[in-house]
Amino acid sequence: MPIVVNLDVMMAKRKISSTELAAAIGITPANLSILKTNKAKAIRFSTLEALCKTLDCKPADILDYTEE
Amino acid sequence: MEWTMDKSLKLSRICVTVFSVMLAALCVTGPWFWKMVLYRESVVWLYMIVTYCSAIPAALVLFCLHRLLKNIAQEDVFCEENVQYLRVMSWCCITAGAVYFLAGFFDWYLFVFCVAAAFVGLMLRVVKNVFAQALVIKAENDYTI
Repeated sequence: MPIVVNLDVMMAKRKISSTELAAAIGITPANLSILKTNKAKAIRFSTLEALCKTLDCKPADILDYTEE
Repeated sequence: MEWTMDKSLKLSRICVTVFSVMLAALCVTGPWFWKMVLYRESVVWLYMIVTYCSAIPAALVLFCLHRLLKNIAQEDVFCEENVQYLRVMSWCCITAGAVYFLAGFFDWYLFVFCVAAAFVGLMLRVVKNVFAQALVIKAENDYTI
C-alpha cells in the first residue's frame, strides 16, 4: 500500500511507549501494533483524531504517501 | 420455550446426524431396500449403482456440514475453511447430479433428482461466493483501526 504510517517516528519524538499511547487513544496494543507495522487497511477519523490529539501533531506527520 | 441460536444449531446438528444414520442404513440395506420399494425389478441394479455412487458425495456433504456447524458453534463463521467446505459441498451436489443425469438415460425419473441436485449445488455455489466476499469484508473490517 502506498500509504505509510510513520507512527514510530512521532512516538519517538514525543517519547511515548506503545502501551501508553494505546491506553491514551483507547485502542488495544494489538491494534496499535497493526497500525505501526503498516498492516492496517484503513484508519477511522476518530482514531486519527485521538492520535493527533495525544501526539500533538497533524495527520500529515503520521501518514505519508509514497509511489509504489 | 424461547428459540435461541444455540437450540437452532443443536437442531441442525441433530438433523445432520439423522441424515448420516439414514445414509449408512441405506448403504447397508440397499439391495433389500430397492427390491422392496421398486415395482420394476429390472431397474433395481440401476438404483443400486446410483445409490452407491451418490453415497460418496452425500457422505462428504454430511461431513462438511458437520464441520461447518462445528465452526459456527465456535463463532468462527467467516473463515477460509468454511468457504472451502461450501465449495466441496457444491461440487459434491454437482457430482451427484452428474450421476443422476447418466442414470436418467436408463430411467427418466432420475432426471428429476439430477435437476434437484444440480440446483442445490448452484445454490451452495452462490452461498460460497457470498461467504468468500464476506471474508474479504471481514478482513478489511478487522484491519480498520
